[in-house]
Formats: sequence, structure tokens, C-alpha cells
Amino acid sequence: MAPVRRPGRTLTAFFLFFLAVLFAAPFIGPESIGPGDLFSGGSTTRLFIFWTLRVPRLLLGLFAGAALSLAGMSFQTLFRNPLATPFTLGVSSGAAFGVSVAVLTGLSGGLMMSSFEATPLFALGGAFLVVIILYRLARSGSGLSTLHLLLAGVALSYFFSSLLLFAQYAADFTQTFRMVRWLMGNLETIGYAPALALLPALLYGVAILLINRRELDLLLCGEEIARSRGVPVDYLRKQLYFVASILTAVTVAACGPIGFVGLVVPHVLRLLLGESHGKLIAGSLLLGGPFLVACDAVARNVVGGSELPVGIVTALLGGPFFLYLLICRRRRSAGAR
Amino acid sequence: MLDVRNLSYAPAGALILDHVSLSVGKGEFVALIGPNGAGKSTLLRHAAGVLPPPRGTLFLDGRDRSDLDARTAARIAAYVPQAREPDIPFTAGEIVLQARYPRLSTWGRQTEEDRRRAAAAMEEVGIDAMADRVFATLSGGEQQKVLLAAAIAQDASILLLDEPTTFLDPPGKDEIFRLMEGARRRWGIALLVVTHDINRASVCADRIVALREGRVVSDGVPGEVATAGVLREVYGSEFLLAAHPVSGRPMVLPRIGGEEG
Repeated sequence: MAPVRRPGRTLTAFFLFFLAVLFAAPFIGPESIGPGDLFSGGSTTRLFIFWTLRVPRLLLGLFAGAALSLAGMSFQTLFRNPLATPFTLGVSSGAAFGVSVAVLTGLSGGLMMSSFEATPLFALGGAFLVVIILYRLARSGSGLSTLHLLLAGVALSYFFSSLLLFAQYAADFTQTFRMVRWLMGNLETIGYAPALALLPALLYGVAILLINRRELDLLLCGEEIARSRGVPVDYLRKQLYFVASILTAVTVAACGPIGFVGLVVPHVLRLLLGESHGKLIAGSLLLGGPFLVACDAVARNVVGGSELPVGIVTALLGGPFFLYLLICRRRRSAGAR
Repeated sequence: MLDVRNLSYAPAGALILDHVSLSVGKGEFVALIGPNGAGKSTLLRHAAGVLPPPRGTLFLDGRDRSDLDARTAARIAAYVPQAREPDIPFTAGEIVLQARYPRLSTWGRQTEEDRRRAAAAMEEVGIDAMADRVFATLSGGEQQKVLLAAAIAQDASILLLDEPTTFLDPPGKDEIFRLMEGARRRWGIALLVVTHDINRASVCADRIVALREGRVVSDGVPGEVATAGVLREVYGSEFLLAAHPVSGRPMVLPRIGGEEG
């Protein structure tokens, strides 16, 4: 038997979690800052850390987490496969290759990703290269062949990964270090530029997905049913592909490939809220962002002093959690028979 | 209601439909029979919009389907595919309500009317008790009923059903045919039903259309089509026929045990 779902209550709980993270996260970090420091003329260092490092980092995390969750949800619906992730089609390998080019050609700045730097642009370029090649390969008639998309995506992903290996081989020690650090996925940021750069893509993605939420529900029922109910399946698939790709590309460009958020969050949402896309989109916004920010808080504070990249933590938490979900699901479906 | 005129379909050179013409009138019950691979399902899929029919070959309510946008067409024709999508992740209630899609406004808001029609369709088919159950946990017959209720909720003027009784036991088959009859009587819906069940088609349908190798072999009332001669031509084998004890409609008997000598 399916568990009794109370989507209203669950979404309210997510909203409370969202608020808690929003107000708690900027105060967590190696330099302890309390709410009092913000008002009673606290030290300028602390104010600087709060407004230039922590709040931008919080916003970047909220936006990136939401974007990755939405991208994961979209690809899972597009392929009707619960194992699809934002990186299934190799968008992140393309971005990684772009970054390696930036590092090799010396166009990338220092170790930290500052706001005015060429690295995100190269990452975006590499990501869109993959998106466009894939689109051309998978176009068929008036539609998009999801099978070709998946196969070509996997092939392209391997190809760009090997190019990345080649670039690392050709690079010197510090350059290789920089590429590897980028690949870990990080929310480190100075100033608001990276977060603001994410916002237009996120708003665009949310709008397109919300407008098409009913169509997405029907697409999940299979192509035949969707078409017979009047869904323009070919057009919808193209839109879905581009929305998910753009969300992934801009996020990877801003923070590197942060894994598992796009897999785990949509799964938890489907489990708790059901499969209707209106609820999944709301859930992605309310849970995806805070989840990533919470992971980041853990990453920065648990291993004393050494600020871990959040990508390592999401992978460490996400992998076992996903296995746990799988086991629960198998138990449940075994019980239903 | 539905008019097919000279529809041919030959993907990759294989001729599946060869100048097929047929029509289904308002409130009419038409059964489509023929051997496997005759093109029955392909014809239905063209009418349902799963496959795009060429211009000038398929008309819904007198309008060329290739001129209609998908939602408008879905307000005229609803489709019940063969139950081979067992992995639909929604509950029965959600699936039936989703079928209101072609009736929703652009923003996709579901109204009280939509919920009312969905509930009425589920009650009509007798699945209101399983509204909260996930599709995958239902039996084959129940899944078939959910898809039928969804098609009824879509509020179209013709239902296209692809082998709605496969995998069902005899009472189950009777029930589906009774439900289709009921939908026709209660809502005035026309029916085009692909089936291998010649007997139930003979009892329920106004007309039977027989297809063989993509061509219409016979089209007429059950008494004209369900004859030994026509069925031999359609299926390429002999048939033993009798009259239904109540309605007098032709019935196909098993030949095994019936052969002489």
C-alpha cells in the first residue's frame, strides 16, 4: 500500500526548513558572528565576512540547489527514468573541459573563483557546446529522440572526460590542482555576481516548468497517452531538454559539478509529495536550495577548520541516502505484491 | 464523427495501411477486427493523434485532423491504449483527473467541474473505491478500467479503444463491453473498438469493419461481416458459426472438436 501523503503539510515543513536555513546559515562558520554584530556597530571585518562572503554564499547555494533539483526532475521526466541526473547527458564534462581550457591558456585567474573571471564563461561555453551537439544528434523529424539523446549524451560525456584527462596530463602541477579543485564543486564566492548570474536562468526555468506542469504529468504517463490527451509531445520534449540543460549549465559554470543534489532531492520529493509536477516544482524550490546550503554548512564546519568543498559532502551523504531509498522502495513494492 | 478517407501508411517501405476508408457516425459502436498485423492498432493510433495522419485523410467532426491543434482534437477523440504502460506512477484518481487536460484553460487550473466529471467517470466505471491506489498496484482489469474512466472523463464524442479486453477473464470482458455500451447510452459517445472478440463485437456493435493486410475487406452490420465466407477471407481459415440463442446474432464456435471425420 502506498503511504498516506499529506503534500500540504510536507510543503509547509519544507518552507519552515527553508526559513531556518535562510536565517541560520549566514551565522555559521569559522569566524563566529552573532545577529548582534550586524546592528550594534560590530567590527567591519565581521560585517565584511557576513555581507560579502556568507550571504552571497547562501544565495548561491539556494539558487544552485533549486536549479539542480529542477534540472534533475526535468531529465527524469524527459527520459521517464528515475536514475537520470542533471549530469547524465555530459553537460558537466563539457563544462569541465571548458574550465581546463581556461586554466591551460592562463585565462583563469587565481585559485579562488572571484566574480570577474573567465572560468565560468569557459565552463558555460563547454556546457553549451555539449548541449548543442546533442540536440543536433538527437533531432528526428519534428521531435527529439530520447534514446539517441541518452546514448549520444553518454558517449559525449566519455569523450569530454578523456579530453579533460588529456588536458590534465598536459598541464603542470598547479594547473592540474586547479582543475581538480573545480571538479569537486564549491559554493565559495566573493560578492553577489555568481548568484545573480544564476537568477535569470532559474526564473526562466521555473516559469517554463510551471506553465507546463500538467503536460509534464501526462508525459510521465507515456508518449501515447500524452499525445492522445492533446499534449504537443515533440515541442514539450525540446523545451524540457533546453530548460534542464540551461539550468545545469549555468549552475555548473557558477559552482562546478555538485553531484547528487539533482538526484536525491527530486527522489525525496517524489516519495513524500507524489509525482505531480506542480508540487515537485514547489518542493524543488523549497527543499533543493536549503538542502545544498545545509550540506555546505556541514562541509565547512564538521572537519575542523579545513573547509571541504560541498560537492564532496553531497556525494558522501547522497550516495548512502540513495541506497537507503532504494531499499525502502524495494521493501514497499515487495509488500504490495 | 470520424471519417477516414484513403489513409495509407508505409513507414520504411512496409505497407501497413493501404487506402483505408471508414466512418463512425454519432453515437455509433463500430468494432474493428482482423488478424494480428492487419493494421487495426495503427489505424486507431492515427485517429488518436499518436501518429500524424497525412492531410486530407482523417476527419474529426468534419474537420481535417492535420489542421486541428492537439488539444482541440483531444476534445473530440479520446483514446484507450492497450494496457502496456504498467509503470505509470500516478494514482487512479490522478490519472482520471489528468484526462481533463484538453478541457483546462491555458494556465491549467482544474475547476470544480473537472473534479466532478472525473468523479462521475470513475463512478460510472466502478473504480471510485480505488482512487487513491497507484496504477502499478492494480490488476490488469482494473488498469483497463482506469484508462477507460480517464477516456470518459476526457469528455470526447468518440472513444478509440485498442483491445480493451485482452488479459481479462470472460466476466471481465463482458463488464468492459457493458461499460462501453453504458458510456454510449449515457453520454452519447461513439465507439471505435479494436478487438479479437468477434462474439462480443457481434452482440454489441452496430457495425463491424474487417481489416486484412492494411485493407478493408468488409464493412457492415454483424450479420453481414460475421459470416463464414467473410471470416475465411479475413483470417484465411475456416470458421464454424451459430446464432446467439437470445439475439440471433452470429457467434463463432471453436472449430476444435467441431470438425467432421
